[in-house]
Amino acid sequence: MENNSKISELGRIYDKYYKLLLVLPAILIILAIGYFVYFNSHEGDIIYKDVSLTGGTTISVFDEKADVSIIKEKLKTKFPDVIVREISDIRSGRQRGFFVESKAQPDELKKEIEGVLGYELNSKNSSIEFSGSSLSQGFYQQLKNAVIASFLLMSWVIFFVFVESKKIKAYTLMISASGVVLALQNVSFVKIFGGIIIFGGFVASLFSLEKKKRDFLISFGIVVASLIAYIYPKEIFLFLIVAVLIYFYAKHSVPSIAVIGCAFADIVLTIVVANLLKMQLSSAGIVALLMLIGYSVDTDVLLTTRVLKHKEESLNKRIFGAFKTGITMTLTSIGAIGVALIFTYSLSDTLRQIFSILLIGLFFDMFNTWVTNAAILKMYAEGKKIS
Amino acid sequence: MKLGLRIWILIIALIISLLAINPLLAFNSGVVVKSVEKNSSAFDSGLRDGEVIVSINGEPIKSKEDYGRFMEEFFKDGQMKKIEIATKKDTYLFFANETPKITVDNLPKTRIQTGLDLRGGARALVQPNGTLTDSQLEDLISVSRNRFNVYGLSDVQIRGVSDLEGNKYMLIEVAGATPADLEKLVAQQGKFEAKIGNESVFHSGKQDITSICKNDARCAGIRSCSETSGGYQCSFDFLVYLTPEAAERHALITKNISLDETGKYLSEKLYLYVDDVEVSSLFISSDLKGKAETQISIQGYGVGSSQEEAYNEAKKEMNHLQTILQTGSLPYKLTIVKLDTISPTLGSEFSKNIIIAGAVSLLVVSIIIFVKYRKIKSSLALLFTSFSELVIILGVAAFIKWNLDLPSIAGILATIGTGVDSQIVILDEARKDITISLKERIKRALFVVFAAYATSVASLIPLGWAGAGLFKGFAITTIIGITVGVFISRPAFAEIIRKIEEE
Repeated sequence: MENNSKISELGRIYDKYYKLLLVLPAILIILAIGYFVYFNSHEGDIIYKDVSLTGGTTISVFDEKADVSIIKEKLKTKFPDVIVREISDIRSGRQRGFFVESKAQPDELKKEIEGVLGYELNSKNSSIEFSGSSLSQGFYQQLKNAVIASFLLMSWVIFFVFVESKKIKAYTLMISASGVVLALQNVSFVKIFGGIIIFGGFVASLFSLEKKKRDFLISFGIVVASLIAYIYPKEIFLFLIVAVLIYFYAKHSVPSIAVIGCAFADIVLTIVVANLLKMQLSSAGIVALLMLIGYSVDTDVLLTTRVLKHKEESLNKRIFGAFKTGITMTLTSIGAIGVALIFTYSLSDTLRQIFSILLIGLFFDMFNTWVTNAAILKMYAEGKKIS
Repeated sequence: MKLGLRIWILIIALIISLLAINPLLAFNSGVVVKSVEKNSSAFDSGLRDGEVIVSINGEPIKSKEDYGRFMEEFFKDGQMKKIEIATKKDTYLFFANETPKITVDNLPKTRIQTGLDLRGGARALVQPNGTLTDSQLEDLISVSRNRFNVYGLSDVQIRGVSDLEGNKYMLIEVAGATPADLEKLVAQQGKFEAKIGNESVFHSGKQDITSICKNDARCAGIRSCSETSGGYQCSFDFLVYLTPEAAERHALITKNISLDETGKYLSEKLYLYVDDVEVSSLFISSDLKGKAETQISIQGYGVGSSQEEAYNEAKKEMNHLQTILQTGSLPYKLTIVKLDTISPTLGSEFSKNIIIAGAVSLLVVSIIIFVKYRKIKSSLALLFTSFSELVIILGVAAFIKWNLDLPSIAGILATIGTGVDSQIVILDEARKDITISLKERIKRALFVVFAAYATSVASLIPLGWAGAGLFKGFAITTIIGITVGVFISRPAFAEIIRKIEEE
């Protein structure tokens, strides 16, 4: 009984102040944008990249006795950009070796390390990974495009789940498909598949619409057609596509734009923290940002479904019920990923980065789901009288 | 308790996966031969890669360590000795005074294949300059494969990959031991040489060969097939066009060679070498003696038990020779854009840590679940489902022979993580104390699960192409994992929970 009254008391406070809660994410996002503008003007990019994205060499040496700090000092004189880190085994805490990362060519770096260590590096005592700079920069560009395509596809799926009108689902699918085709324009499968969707959708809507809207669609179709014709620069068109999609999503389904926005905010804020921690992102790190979408979306979908579709309980109760479930989900994820991070922390750079990013992202996801998304949904549900 | 259809599907999927992973292999002992050096005494005795050594000179060999110990002991004195290698298939006898030139490895304990970053090896991403068509890339790959085979490296995987920008690459992976000369093999132009006796007639490359007839029936093809004792034989020939200088050299060398007893051929053969390794020898027709002929016909044959087999063998052999001749005059300059040689030293450490991390993660999740629900049955069902999901993913990976690399492992962990999340949704929805029927509530939970699944798949698809397919592993394992989860284990879990709640 006492518990119940506490909850209703909390509910009253929440009812009164939940709109104010939205100030927090707004501030965070504004700060993040400001930070990115500042960061970009200094670094020329929005992240710190490691050698897998800029090109360079990573050499891991398995030497249990080498003094890592001395090696670092000696290598720094010849390669100012060098990073040296210890590799150790979490269970015993023993040093297993160290790895060296630099933009230098593998032969130069290897020779220098051999000079410091006083013995030769071979395939038994070391691993050498080298990526050419044009390749790595190409990878980076591709990963960025893949992230854009991923976002367009995932946004559309969310919209598809929460909006009723079939027509608007079809329009947005067409626009999203042209965006994906633009982002991944050299993959023939995407070109063909995307082309079919766009063309099919266009023809279908031409025949199914009354006259006035047809004019709109024809002009819209021309835009899409010109996109397929690859008019450059594609960034402008991608921007246009994103803007149109946001307009459609926001107009027809506030809840889905809230889910998409939360996933976006999770990623943006995670990048900010990664930058603040001076984490040099590798290609695996960018992939981890995409993994974040999967983790982030399920709690948001849960919340949205409970609020919009299950009308047996009061609005606050539905939000609170979703919160109880969602927080268990996120906590188990944090627990599992935290453990994985501890065990791979000093052994593998790839896994460490993937798990660190997921962990940071999950914390932001809790915030964005239960503060931002919950408040938006409550506002929306009360406005639409879904309670 | 009667088991429903969905639970049966899960159980069957589990059994099939376990069979695919095949834990029975764990009881196998012996070492598998990874490579045999060409022209070594072991090679001549007939031993080939892929065979499983059971004993040597009657002494059982159970592991790589056994093998190493035996060899060290046996050849300590450096005497020439008889060595008898018994494999599962046959017994091979030869003499040696040093460790045979073969490499061996322990038999795999499971059919799960680990990627290069776990078991060590070398990987090169090679970019040809200029834009290649798909068939040109195919050609390049077959040329390169031949080249590696010439070196006796058979555990090499070469495949073409293309990326989001439409660039085409050749990805070469050599597992296990890392040949230091992978770089040399790839980037250096192969040296082809045709010799008569000790004298060089022509080399590969523009200097000596102007062109090679390929895919043109007028100057290359299978000419005749005939029945021989115990099978069929098909002969082929194709033309190689030499420069006048090379033809002149040919005339000079053959001028002084006598005819053989049949009178049809010269007594010396034309030997073909690739990087100083003999790969083939040809009879020289007597009418070519002393002639400055710019068109050389290269002949050979293939044999088989049926005419079709002989025909295919001949075709393969012809293609092989053409490729070798072409290797040196490869029209593309190759650049290694990414080269990784990964030491196997940390591989086992990695695997151990990952298994422990997985187990501890599962334990942590169990504790959270148990503290939250305080119901042993439901919590156990949740853990069982997650665990079976893991087994099924590994089973699928073993079945499609997917190499599990670090990104794949991260993908599996992510999958299990989102899987647990979905199960929590189902569990919570099922335990809700409201008037709606249990069936309806589970339906609602599955709606959330499916929506989350669809978004994840949508966000993963573009990754398959990015970065020359290096993230395919991650994308594929994750998509397999979440698909298995949504279509097999989640419905089964929903049914288990319904049964538990109805009780």
